[in-house]
Amino acid sequence: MLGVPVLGVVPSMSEGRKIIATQGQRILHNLKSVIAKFRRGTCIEKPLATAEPKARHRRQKILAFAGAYRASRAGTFCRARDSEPKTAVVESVSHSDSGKTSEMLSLAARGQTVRLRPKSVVAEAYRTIRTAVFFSAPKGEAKMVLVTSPEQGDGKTTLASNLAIAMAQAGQKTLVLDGDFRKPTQHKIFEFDNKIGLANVLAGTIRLDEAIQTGPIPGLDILPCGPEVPNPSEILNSDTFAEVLKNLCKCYDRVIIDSPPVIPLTDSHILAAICDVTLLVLRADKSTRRHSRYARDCLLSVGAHILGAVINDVPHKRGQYGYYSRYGHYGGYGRYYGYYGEQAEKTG
Amino acid sequence: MGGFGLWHSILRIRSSIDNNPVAPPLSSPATARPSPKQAVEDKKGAGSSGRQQYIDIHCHCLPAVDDGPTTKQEAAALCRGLADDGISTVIATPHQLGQFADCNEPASIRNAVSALNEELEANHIHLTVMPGADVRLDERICQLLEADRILTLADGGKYILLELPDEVLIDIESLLVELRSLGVQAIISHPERHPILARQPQILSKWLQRSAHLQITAGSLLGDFGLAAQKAAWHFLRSGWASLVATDSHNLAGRRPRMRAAYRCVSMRLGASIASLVCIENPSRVSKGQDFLDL
Repeated sequence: MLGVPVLGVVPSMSEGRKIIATQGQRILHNLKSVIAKFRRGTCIEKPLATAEPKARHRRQKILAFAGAYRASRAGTFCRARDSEPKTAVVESVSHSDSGKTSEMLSLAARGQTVRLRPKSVVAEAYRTIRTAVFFSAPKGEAKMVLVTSPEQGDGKTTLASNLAIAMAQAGQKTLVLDGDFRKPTQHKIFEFDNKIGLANVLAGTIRLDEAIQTGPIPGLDILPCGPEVPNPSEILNSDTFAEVLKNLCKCYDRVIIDSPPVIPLTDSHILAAICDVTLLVLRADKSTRRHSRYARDCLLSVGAHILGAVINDVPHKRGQYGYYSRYGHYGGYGRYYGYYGEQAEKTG
Repeated sequence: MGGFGLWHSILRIRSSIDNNPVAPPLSSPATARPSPKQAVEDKKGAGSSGRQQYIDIHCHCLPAVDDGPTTKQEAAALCRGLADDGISTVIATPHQLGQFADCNEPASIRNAVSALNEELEANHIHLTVMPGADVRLDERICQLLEADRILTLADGGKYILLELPDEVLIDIESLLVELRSLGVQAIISHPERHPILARQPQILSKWLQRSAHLQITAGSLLGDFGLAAQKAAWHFLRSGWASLVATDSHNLAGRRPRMRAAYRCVSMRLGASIASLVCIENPSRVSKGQDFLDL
């Protein structure tokens, strides 16, 4: 379908919880959680409210999509329109946040899974992605890695931080650069404050090395966004930013760049054009074909080198977590490879 | 779908027939066994015949190092099971890298192997254990090999057992080239159980040209890992791609050694010469650090 290789499949982080594999189970699970909430008396209006926001959420998604589409059709990297899709996206995130993955683990726990739970299946999946990135790109040619996704909430930020930790653990000097000026998150994952960062460096108020924070493990540094800026796209398109990136590449083996989603905003288009390789994060059961394809086309049109797709939050087919307890579940992820793999073969 | 199910059950019945032959070739003839308990039968068969001395190059038999046996007793029991299955020499291959990064250092594996050998001798189990490792694919393999942080098979420095991640297909050609420059050949463990490789094996031919070898799990040939793995395993053997069969056994319950049954199955379908090549000759060459014979 996408014609890009699958670089990784990250299982759901719902470790230790009941595994929700089928639609029926999911409905049952949702019902149960609603009933449980009722009993606790925490939110009584919730079940009534679910139907309406969902419809609104879908409408807004389409709206955001249309807005971005119009913007790109007109060929303008327009700033004026940025505000409109932004609100839609932020709202849609707040809805998807009530989904099943995010409610169980804190942001820092999810973003640093590789470090905090190195034996988990999820951590292993991130390490596999690291290896896949290494073998997919010729040596030394994938220094700047952009992590992006069609829409908000697909798991870019957690992939970026976990991948960076995994790379640092493998002895590569790695920097996480938060390029998402619209909704900076990396500082929350690594638990810094966002007072100084990239924005200050680009404004020329502080030096680059003053803005870089030391990460939780050796070999990992973080460059947070810094204070809010009025014109993110313009800043990313500036020569100063290109200069900063060039300097960073001299000091680090890998620079992982977290970015805003592709469809509503043009920021990641700009970043994709600068970066060596791009990873497209898709969320199983959320990312649609049309949006994924559209995001891919957007990225390709600006000359991005899409290394591959990472499929996030894939439910386990059988709820087994042991390293080798996955007996004969080979159909488990099969449909994803079949899907992307076979098509990649046809096109490539 | 129904057709597949039927075919699968036929294959299963077939392989269960293969597992329970009336009598092993040159064993005591008196015991005709309609016994329902296969484990008992395997034991008796080995005790009496002991003819084929298989060599197992992939086995998780060291206690408390990975997902194999957790205690010394379990490890000894597994080793007894291996010996009863007609195996004379086993290369212990605990997992390295991946989830077991930083735990299984070569020195500790070597110590565990010598400890296990002593214990086997004390318990009169006729099995020789050699050190080795099942190395998860990683970009640092060559550096770690040079630094003696990961083990080669039988500690001979010639073959490395490589485990590929299941979820994705990674083209390891560059790694194979790099390993070759170090004088090391890669043995890819159970490619038939890799969901993508089993379906799209074309990439394997490229790796085989880079002096990679394929190791099939004995259980895959008998249908333990499902129909797709079984079909792929037989395809690899028939086409001459696979040069080794190993048990990849972890315990005596779900993933027990099934070398004898696999040997019989292969010799029945493809002839005894191929069976002894993949189950005895080539594995013994791995344990001695010699080059392979071609099929």
